[in-house]
Amino acid sequence: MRLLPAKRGPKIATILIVVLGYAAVLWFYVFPYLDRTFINRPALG
Amino acid sequence: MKTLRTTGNVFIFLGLSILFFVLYELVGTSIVTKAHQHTLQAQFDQELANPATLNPAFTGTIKVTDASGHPTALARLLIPKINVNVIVVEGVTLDRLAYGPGHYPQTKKFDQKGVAAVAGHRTGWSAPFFNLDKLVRGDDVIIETLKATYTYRVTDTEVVTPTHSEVLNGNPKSHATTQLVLTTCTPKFTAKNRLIVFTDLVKTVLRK
Repeated sequence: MRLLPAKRGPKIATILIVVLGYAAVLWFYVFPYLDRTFINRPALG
Repeated sequence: MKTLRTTGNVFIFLGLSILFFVLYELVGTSIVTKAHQHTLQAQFDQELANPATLNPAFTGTIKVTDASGHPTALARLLIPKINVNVIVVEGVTLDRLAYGPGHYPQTKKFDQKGVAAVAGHRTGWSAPFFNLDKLVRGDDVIIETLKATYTYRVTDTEVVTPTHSEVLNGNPKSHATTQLVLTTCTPKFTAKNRLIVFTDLVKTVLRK
């Protein structure tokens, strides 16, 4: 089973969408969670 | 061979993800805070230039957020020894600290007698308190408000766990009636403990 389209154009487009989507999820959801949970909570209480 | 190759690819993928996180933490968050600070510094300078708010007798309420809900400039914090020059906003939620160091709402305002406290980031978000551990007894911490410039002197530092909020009551060894307490994360790059810097007010210069 092929995961990516055979033609070059659609193949590059698919890879770009997956990479950008992954990066966006990390940047807007995963990283802020890691930041506020493990790294940055300077206030007390 | 195929398993080894797949494992290698997974590690490369994870390594790139971690590098991306470092980029987010050290660059991405700081870009956000620097943009906010640029606006807040300009706003504070503009307020200082407005004679209506410069009168020491000014007792009006200073707005802590603007019409769109963004925090407004509360004061300017200067720590010459570690090159800190930042605008303090009201509140210590992480949303507020993205704008700069935040004043603990449950503590006294800078223009009041008593203990005021400020929290700031040590990692990312422009890391205003990155070198806070370099402060020692005798170093100056300056707060500029619309009413006056207050010079505080460091009296003590302490490391406590995050639940020790009694440090916001000030330095128990100090007899000064007006104090400023600075808090940040320690060790660097973790939220394990809090570094506390106690300071006493030593000089007040009212604006003319």
